[in-house]
Amino acid sequence: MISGARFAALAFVAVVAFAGLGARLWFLQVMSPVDFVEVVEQQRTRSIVTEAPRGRILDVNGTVLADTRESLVVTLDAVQLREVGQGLDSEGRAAARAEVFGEAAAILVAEGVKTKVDDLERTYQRAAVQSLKPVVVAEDVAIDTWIEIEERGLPGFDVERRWVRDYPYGEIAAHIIGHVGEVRSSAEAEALTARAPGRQYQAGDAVGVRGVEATFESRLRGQPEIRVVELDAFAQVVGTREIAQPAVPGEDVILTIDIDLQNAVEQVLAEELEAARLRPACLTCEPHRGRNGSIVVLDVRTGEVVAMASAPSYDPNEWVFGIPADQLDYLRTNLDSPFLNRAVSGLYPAGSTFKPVTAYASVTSGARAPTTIWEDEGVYQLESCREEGGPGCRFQNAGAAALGPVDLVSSLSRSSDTYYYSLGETFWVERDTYGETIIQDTAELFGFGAPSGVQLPADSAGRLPDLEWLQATYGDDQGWFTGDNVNLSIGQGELLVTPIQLANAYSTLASGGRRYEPSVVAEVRTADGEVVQAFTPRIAADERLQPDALGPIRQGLIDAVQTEAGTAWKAFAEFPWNNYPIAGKTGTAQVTRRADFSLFAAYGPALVPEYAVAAVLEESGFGGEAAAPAVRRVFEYLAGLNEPAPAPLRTDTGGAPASTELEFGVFEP
Amino acid sequence: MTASVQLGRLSRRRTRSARRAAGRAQRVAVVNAGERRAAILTLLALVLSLFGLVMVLSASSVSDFHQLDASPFATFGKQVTFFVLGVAGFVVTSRLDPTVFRRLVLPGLGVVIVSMIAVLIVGVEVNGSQRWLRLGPINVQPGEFAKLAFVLFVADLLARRRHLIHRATAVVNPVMGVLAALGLLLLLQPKMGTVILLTATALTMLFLAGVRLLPLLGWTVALASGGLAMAWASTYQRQRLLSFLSNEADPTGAGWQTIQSKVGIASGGLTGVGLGASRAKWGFLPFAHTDFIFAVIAEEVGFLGALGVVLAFVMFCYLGMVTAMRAVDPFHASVAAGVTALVMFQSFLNIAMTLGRAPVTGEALPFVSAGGSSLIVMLAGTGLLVSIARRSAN
Repeated sequence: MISGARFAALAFVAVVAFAGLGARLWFLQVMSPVDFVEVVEQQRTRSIVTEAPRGRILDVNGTVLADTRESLVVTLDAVQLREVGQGLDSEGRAAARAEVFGEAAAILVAEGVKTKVDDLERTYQRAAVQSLKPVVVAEDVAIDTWIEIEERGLPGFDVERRWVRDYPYGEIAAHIIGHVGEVRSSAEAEALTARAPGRQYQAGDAVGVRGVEATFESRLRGQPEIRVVELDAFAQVVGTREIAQPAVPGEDVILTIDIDLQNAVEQVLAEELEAARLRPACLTCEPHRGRNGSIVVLDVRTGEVVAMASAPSYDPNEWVFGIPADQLDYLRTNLDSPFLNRAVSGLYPAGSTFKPVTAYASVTSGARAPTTIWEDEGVYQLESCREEGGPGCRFQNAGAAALGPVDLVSSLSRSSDTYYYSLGETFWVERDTYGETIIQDTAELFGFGAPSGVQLPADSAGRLPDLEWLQATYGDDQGWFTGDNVNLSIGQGELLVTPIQLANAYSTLASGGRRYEPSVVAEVRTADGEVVQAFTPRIAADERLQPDALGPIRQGLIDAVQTEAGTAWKAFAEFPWNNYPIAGKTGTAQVTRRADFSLFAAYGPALVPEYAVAAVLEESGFGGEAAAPAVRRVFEYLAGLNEPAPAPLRTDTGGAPASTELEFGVFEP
Repeated sequence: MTASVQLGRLSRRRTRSARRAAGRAQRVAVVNAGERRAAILTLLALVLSLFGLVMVLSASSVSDFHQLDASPFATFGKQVTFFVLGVAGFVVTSRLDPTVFRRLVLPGLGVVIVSMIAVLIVGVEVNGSQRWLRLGPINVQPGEFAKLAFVLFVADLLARRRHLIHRATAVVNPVMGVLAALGLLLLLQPKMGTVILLTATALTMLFLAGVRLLPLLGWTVALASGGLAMAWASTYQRQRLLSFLSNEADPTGAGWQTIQSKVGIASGGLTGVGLGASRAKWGFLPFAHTDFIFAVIAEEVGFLGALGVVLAFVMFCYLGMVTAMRAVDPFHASVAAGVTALVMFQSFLNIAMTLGRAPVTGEALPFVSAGGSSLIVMLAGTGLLVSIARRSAN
């Protein structure tokens, strides 16, 4: 019935067709074109990067100064909340939002979190502008709160686990520790990742922005976990395929400071500034504002930073969940610049604290022997323009006081300016003999004009002016004149130093020539406690200072403190310097239209120096008046005459940032 | 001429089976070749259906659970029920002489056409197509039953008019008339795939029955170009056709299924990702348990498993066609040819579609895909084949 030929024809076609299917199957499956496999990987997997716990920052005794803990936080997502009440006018949306906030606040209040609807609305307004990832409105909430919020399904509210950076001591040592901030955009995250491969950053991650948090970012961050998960077509996670990169916790950074002593030094600074504010200035003088300053304590033997205070300070905890915009504005526009670490970034005229540099130059260059007597008349008229007698030719002591005959030792202890004015002029007038930059060269020996090398951001080089700098700054037609050298000789004029440079210079003086790069970090340890990097004393220069110059200079510094004619005599009255002799120099820096800046730099014990201290109190009067008493009190702690009280832990344990009061008073003009 | 070829083949076959029989003479009684074909056809249908059940369970549980919020076994349970119904249908058709259905050809065709009209009026719409008729607790696709009714109708016609076989108009015109009627109703659903399938089946049946080649070729060309023109006229069909020609052109739209299907198959490799381990079914591949079940098979059991399925269909079609050749009755021969052609074209169309070598038409993989009407029709059709095989001369 069926023709064999037709059957054969059909069978042939069918066999060819099905063989074609088999071939196609072989091609698709076994030849396995790469692009298909890639498509599969791309659409069915996603990498989830989770931050590893950030390393801690500890003080020299192991007290935790910056901690990381896991916290259950309630977050508010502005992006989701923007859609609440969609289709209504702005009032209607606000009302719809208020309803959501009311419910949320009710839950939070029931759980003991102090929150108001207004707070949430404010937080929302702020987040809506900054549009970061969901912001935290309450931290450390109970599991019950979590369940409650998840059950209600309030739009824009969520509960998640987050690593929370905690600074238990608040404002204490804030400038050293620094703080973390959020990576604000994917572009920023990419830039950070490019700098540190394997440390993948994502928007919203924590990144150190100031202090040790910033300089030791690569150590503290750790290696994030990269988990490759499988997704279904609805982008729901089905399961974990692999851990592409395991999490490695960040390393701990151990500081050289002792938090109790640090706190004590900060207290001293704050109290002496307050005392300076209350001390009346002369009627025609600018008033003592006395709000800002810095004290740096270095260990002469190792270069370690023992304490480093900068006033005013700020609470780094404010930054952990994103700082409220109003507070940030306030902090940024505040004339007191609370973020500025004045110890390394504050630029000050050195004033008379610079005199040992000029003195060293004079002795070593042979310009004037230490024993040569100089008749201090209170006023110095430049030799080179004595005929003209113009005002530019007259330089005078503070208050034009005539000190009579002085040698090098008493020029330091009684702080004669004219002694140094004349040196300044001599150096410049006879520059063929001494060289054009003898003062600057000597200053470099003590570390001025270069960053100190401490492991903190914005470690300033200060300013050591010379002709080159002058022309680069003010134009080629500028020249270096005798007056410039005269100003420089007493640490005025264009010279600017940082407190840590000053402390380090006196440390160099104390050690007889060994200059360190100050260390604020002692070592870095893994989370398991293994030391991976130790900052053994880092020597910057080890040049023996000439004893014939060093001897009289040291004596002058001792006499400044221990003789009745010394400028710091009053400040150190009844200090047991028989047991703990101190050598120091006052400085009173003049600043245009502001009260004098009070400086004091010292080291002690004078014969076997252990510590060098420098203090700068802005707009606080004479060096012997404000800075010297502050340094005296610091030495009382260092000499063991006074025990630092335990540093107080921060009392405010978090809560909604919006409800946090401003930490600083209002600036009074 | 026909007879001599047949004789030659018969003799060869006898010698071979005789040799084989001699080897087993002690153990097995000599079985009629037709009986053996019947047994193997039954076995193939059962194996494919049971394997289909496993794959339906694998492919449907995810989407059941995910999209329907139902029990992960909902689709599987339904499929088991239909399998049981299909086996019942198989038992009936395999026991009865297909000749008894000749009296039911016209009434059957009538019922199918009426229910297809009903589908267009009161049918259940799923995924933009109106193909289902609600009958109590189950949905029935009259379009599936139309396949069997059409094959029986054409077979009956060819048997009755076998003496007029050389007058093309006498047999071809009625076939084309009924095909046009069914095709129109199917296109309105729309269900282009079944139209193609019925046309190919009709042409194959006519070809095997001995209709002269020239008119048949004319009809084939005419139908193909007509079909293309109609497909072009309909936006829905045109999209599918275009996406077939270049599915990368619109990867998230019309080309999505084909790409996902190919991606799933590609990840299967030689031996597959393992039963149940398909990722395509996690929502990536729509209709994973129905139209695209072959993609899930290829992914889970790999090239070897998928090739096994293809070979099972080749085996089935070969035995079906041999059954048609050996049939003692012209009606039997045409029914066997028709049913086999149905299975052959449908399995080819489905697999080719899954492999990106045919437009997406929505024809199920016979026996395997989830879908009650299709499974029942296929098992009943196999019953007819088995019955014919057992009644064949040898």
